[in-house]
Amino acid sequence: MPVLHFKPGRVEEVIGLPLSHALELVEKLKIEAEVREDGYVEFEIEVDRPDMYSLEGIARQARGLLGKETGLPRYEIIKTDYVIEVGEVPSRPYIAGAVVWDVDVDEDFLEELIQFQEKLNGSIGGERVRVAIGLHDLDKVPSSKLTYDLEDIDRVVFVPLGGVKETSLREVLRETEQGKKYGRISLHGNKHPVIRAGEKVISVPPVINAELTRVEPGTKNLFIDVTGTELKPVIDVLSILAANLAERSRSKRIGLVTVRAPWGSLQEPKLEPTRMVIKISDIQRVLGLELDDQDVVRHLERMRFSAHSLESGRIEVVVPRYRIDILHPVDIAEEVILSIGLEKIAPRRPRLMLRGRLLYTRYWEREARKILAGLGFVEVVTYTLVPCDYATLAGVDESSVVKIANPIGVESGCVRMSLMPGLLRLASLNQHNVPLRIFEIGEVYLVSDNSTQDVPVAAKKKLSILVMGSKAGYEDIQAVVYTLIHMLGDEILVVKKYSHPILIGGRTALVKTKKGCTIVLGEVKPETLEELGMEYPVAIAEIDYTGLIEDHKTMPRP
Amino acid sequence: MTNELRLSESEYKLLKSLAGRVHAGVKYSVEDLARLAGMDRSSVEAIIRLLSSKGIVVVEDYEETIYEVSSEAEKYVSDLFPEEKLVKHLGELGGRASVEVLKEVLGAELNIALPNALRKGWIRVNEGIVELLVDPSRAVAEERKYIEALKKGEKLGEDILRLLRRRKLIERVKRRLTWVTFKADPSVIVEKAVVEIGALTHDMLVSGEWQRFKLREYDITAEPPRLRLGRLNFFLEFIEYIRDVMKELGFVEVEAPPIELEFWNYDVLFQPQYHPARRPTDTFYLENPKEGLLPAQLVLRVKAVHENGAGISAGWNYKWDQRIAARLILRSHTTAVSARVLAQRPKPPFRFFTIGRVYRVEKVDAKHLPEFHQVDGIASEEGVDVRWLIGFLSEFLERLGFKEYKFRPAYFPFTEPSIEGYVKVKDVWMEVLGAGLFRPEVLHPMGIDYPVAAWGMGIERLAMALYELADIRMLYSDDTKIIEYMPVRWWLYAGLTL
Repeated sequence: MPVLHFKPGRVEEVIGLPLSHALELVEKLKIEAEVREDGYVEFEIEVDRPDMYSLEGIARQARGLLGKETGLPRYEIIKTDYVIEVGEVPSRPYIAGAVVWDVDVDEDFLEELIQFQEKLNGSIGGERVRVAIGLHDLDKVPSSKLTYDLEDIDRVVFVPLGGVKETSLREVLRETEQGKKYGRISLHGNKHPVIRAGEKVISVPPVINAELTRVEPGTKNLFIDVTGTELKPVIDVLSILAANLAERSRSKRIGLVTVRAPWGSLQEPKLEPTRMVIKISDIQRVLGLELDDQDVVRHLERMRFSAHSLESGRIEVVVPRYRIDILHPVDIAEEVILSIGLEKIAPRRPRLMLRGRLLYTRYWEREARKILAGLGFVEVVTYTLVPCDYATLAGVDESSVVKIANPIGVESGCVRMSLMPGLLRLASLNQHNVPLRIFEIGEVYLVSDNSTQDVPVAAKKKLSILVMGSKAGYEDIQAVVYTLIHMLGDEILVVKKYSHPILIGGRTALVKTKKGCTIVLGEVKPETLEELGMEYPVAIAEIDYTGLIEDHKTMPRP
Repeated sequence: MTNELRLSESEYKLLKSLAGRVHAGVKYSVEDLARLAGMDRSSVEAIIRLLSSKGIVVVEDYEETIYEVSSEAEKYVSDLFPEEKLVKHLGELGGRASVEVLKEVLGAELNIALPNALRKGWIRVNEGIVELLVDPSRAVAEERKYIEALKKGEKLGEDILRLLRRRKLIERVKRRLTWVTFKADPSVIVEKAVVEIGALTHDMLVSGEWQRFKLREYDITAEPPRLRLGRLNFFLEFIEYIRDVMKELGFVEVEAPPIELEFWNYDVLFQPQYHPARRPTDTFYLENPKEGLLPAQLVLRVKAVHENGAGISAGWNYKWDQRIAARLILRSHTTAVSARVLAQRPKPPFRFFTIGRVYRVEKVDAKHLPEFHQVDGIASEEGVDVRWLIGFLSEFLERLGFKEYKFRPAYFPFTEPSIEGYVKVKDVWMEVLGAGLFRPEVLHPMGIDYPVAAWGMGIERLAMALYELADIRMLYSDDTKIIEYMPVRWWLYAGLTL
């Protein structure tokens, strides 16, 4: 969730309330507010509301809730002769521009403006991959005739923002911090997108602007460029920027910028609102409240929509362009809740009686656990992300192991394929606690080529039991397993010699039970114990009770 | 002392074995008693001391000086004294010999032999020549007689003792002697004493002997040893508790493996493919296996709703990529399971829940793990709406034992309206759950036209708070002692104090 910080004085000034009232009010807008130790106010804003990534955007909503200003905000949108001629830029085809007058940048606002830009770049901008923003001092833009095109990075020379001397774009991409971070996003062979005003470079999106058009305290009017890989989010971000900056503007004047591109022409930001017709009954059905159309209209006006009643229980809602989160009438229903206040909506407890039920295997697990605790075993929980080399201990072929492409470390590179390696590791760490009797219940996963499954992985339900002591042999684990199986009302059907890479030959068995459990049990090889740094003998069993599920087909399986 | 005479088990045992063999008023050494009782000296002595403190016996300790024959003397006695050897050799040498010659025969012993033979008048020495003065066969050292007398236990005069000591033939040692006198015959004491025992035994009960025994009082305040025990894991017990609450609320449990298609984890849930969570910095992707199969019909409808809203929504307006949806990941939330259940279009009314592990790319520290548990539930019935949802969540939190809770509006890509639930644990508000009504963009492609409520809750953070653990890794402790000795917070499950 984007976290923004503001000076408390600015919060009071822009929202127009004493700080404590202001913080209380913004809570109604899904904003978590707190005052940091350094005195700054911190707002955590939900990701669906980029239009509130600046104080002016928050204040616009706050004034609605306070009734100071309701309905659709009005901005004066006028034509300008700013034109961007766009060439073929396959790596970043889309661009749009806007002018906002009378923004009057001062030191505090400059800080907020940079934060606003960064949060938009980071969230809907996808770290500047999808969308990136350039802000310029309009009065420093040398010409209203702009171009956006791919240019050879060795032929582009300009002073990058924060720089003092003319530098080639190649050097900017290679040497500057911004260049290193964003320089590869839109690079197209030896070429890179460049925005020029007249002959002068003003920006190389999505990397950096030119020093030429630097926005600084004293800047009056702003020119905005937004570039990206898809048109919709480019216009979305441009509209949010223009509308929020206009909120700060005395004249609320926004200038349209013409774009002529191979993919079409446009004039933005028109801030054309969208219209949505909703049924009162739909709102009522979502909320569970009796509301008439006047209530709904009033709430929506408070939320800065324009709304009016149509016949037959319908309302037309006019959605401002910057509200890119409104996709469906259900989003309008939420706005009504925000206006009413969730805390004012009375809960209604479910009355219906339904019969709850746990998974069939859960009951087997619960009994097995009780029996094992009674036999003196301690139940452990281990991680399902394990080192890939557990496969060797598990006697599982590496190609059957579920492997993670981006693990956080070698200790958690694979998904567990058996519970035995984890129990052995735990035992090795508990040699001060001998005799040790432990068990674990959990699922393990193996790659399976069963083509009927949508996910080519088999989940196995396992119960693994380990005994470690000065003496711990086959009979020790066998006695536990047999007792457990009998106490669970099951029967041993087949006992066969078995071979397992970490278990001693002739002291390892494969057991099958009547209810469908398959059990491997045996004594761990001294070589293995030595490898694991263990000085006590260990006997271990792993019960696969996946087969129990097959008994019971009535459970809903997702 | 009261009239009642109390004996410990060991005192009783000793007295019983001495009964009839030992009598009142007679002095016995501890050694005698040990022999008579057939026990070792040191334990008899220890018991006698205890009996003495109870006034049953009188113990007199003496210190006695005795002389013990040295090993050197033993050698001389069994062979010859050095001076005896000297005269014997002199006799063989014709009654005269130089000191040098004798030295060769007797060696270092000559130094002892010469002065003693001189003192006894058996020889004389003149200018290095030793002359025999007596008949060698009659020259017997009187020390031989004294040693033998001493060994027989006879007393010797002070002068003789001094002589023997000077020749290191005897050693003076001090010995402690303990004399024990019984005030009454042991058989009598045994008869009237009450025996205190530490533990009742099977034998005592079988023989009826228990009647003469009294069980000794314990120091009931002394700490007992800590016992090892078998234990169910406290964290899993907490999860089982949540399961029971869900069952009680009429939910049916379902499950699915955590290895999941992106499709079910994200796309079906209307989370756009460009969403920041769908990146390797947040989601675990698989290298083996890499991808799975998509449900053919549903894919097209999900694609449409993402790209253009499928006629019901504005959609996200981007190019939806089927290959991204088919990639395999470790699920990031258990809502993926709920999505799979919903796709089967269950008939309302229904309530389903699942508890399982979910995965997020997080470095391990005291607050974060890359894997943790979530409980996720979905429900549909007549009248499912926001009021119902808040009502249900209130019921759920109260049944978990929380008295103070609140809800706030929130945002999730797959629900609208969305709600977050907070509970107060020890004066701190904690965000514990997310909930909402599934968006039409989620339900419509599945062909569901009824409202469905959904909610999910992380379990670890709650377990940490309730068990007062500062480190999340404690829940997965690899020290079995911690699991063994973690006290059960059963009152949490009674729903009383939160």
